[in-house]
Amino acid sequence: MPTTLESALVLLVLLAPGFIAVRIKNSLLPYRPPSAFQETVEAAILSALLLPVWLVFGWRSSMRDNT
Amino acid sequence: MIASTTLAPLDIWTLFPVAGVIALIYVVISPLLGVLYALIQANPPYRAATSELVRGRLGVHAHPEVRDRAFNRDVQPWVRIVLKGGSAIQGIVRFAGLSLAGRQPLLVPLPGVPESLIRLDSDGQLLDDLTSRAEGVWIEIGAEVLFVEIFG
Repeated sequence: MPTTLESALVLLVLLAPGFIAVRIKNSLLPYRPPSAFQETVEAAILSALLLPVWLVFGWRSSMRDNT
Repeated sequence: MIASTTLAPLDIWTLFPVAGVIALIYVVISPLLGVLYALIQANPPYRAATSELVRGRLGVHAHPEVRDRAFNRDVQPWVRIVLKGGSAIQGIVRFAGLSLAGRQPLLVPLPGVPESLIRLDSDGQLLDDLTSRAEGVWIEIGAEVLFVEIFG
């Protein structure tokens, strides 16, 4: 079972792309800065959108390791 | 993914595919997602369809706000924005943001026409002619604005 620290690190790795995407979006729309709460929610949603990408690559990698 | 069940050190080459996936998501997919999100937020594809649907159901006189009705036209009007204290700014509306979050008309001068973008004092006298100096004046319609006169 993963420890709390490992879980936190995995969560960090999964959430970071969402924050990257939101920051890039904000830099392209500088006249419409979101609140910190809105930015966090947007990042979480975008990170969730990327979960299938992680799963697809993880699944492909595990399939390759098993063969 | 990589799973080590022994205490033997991992072969460094096995880490490359994982690093590649992380780099792909962090460096390529995330920025693309941000750009896509910015495009969607700047030009909401659902806005036109929703507007058509709502206006079709409620009639052509239904707009989200009076401001939409006033500025949603091809020929932008000449306006005088009167501020608290009586001073005013007068010019042609170039853009009028239709976002509900902010009312931000951009006033511009009429090309070749002097005193077409001006500031007026509380007596209606010319205070400052911005025509030759400024490309436009961006105003946030808020508590400092008493009313907007529209001259069509």
